Amino acid sequence: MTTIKLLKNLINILFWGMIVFSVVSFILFIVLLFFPESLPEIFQLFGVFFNGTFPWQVWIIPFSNILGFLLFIVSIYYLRKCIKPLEEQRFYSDEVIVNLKKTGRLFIVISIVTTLLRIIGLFVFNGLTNNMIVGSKFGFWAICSAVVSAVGAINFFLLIIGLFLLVFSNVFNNGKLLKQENDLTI
Amino acid sequence: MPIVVNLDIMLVKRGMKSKELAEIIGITTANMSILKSGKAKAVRFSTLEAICKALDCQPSDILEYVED
Repeated sequence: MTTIKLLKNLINILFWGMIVFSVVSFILFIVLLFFPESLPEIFQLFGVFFNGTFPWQVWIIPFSNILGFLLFIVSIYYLRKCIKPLEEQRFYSDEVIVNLKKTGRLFIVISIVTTLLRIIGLFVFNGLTNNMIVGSKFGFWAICSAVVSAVGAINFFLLIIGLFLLVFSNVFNNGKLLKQENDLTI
Repeated sequence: MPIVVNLDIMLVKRGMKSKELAEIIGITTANMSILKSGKAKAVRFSTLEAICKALDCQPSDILEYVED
């Protein structure tokens, strides 16, 4: 029970921390876009990103990060919904099975989508600057190392965790069937 | 399910109420209801033994195979 309570508290801290961060970032973004002069000078420096200095290709990787972050908030929301029945010792309830499956699927989607966007972003950006990867003397190996860095250990780990949660959901589903059978054995 | 529980018939034959049988064999009335309605997935040998003892009958008097 202590483990579940600790897990619940950590997930709540993560979830609400991300919500607060998102709201503050969104407000800052809006203010920076429409009323930049009202912000301190250090924040005004970020205005360079929105005044058309950079081409749209530069935005692909930051966009993938934002999309991944938002989807991650949704997946943590579903993970939070799993904790309540677990805390009440209802291990084999539909809530746990369905929400674990949703979280697992979202983790997989996040890792695949952000990785693809990063790879696309990397090559589009490279085509723009034409100096880093394809043009380098390392050729094929430079491309490989760029792709590996775009995939990243965290995305790879998220994919594994996503698959693990799907397996976990199936295990709970089997457990539910066995429990039903056990309950109906007289 | 092709296995039919004929507990009702045996209870009528022995003039016993299902609540009484539940008390004798030590199961809840809810479980007795599950058993009588045919919703049960399995019956333990110990339960079957207790039922046969209480109703003075054979397992075949209670359980019957009917093809779907």
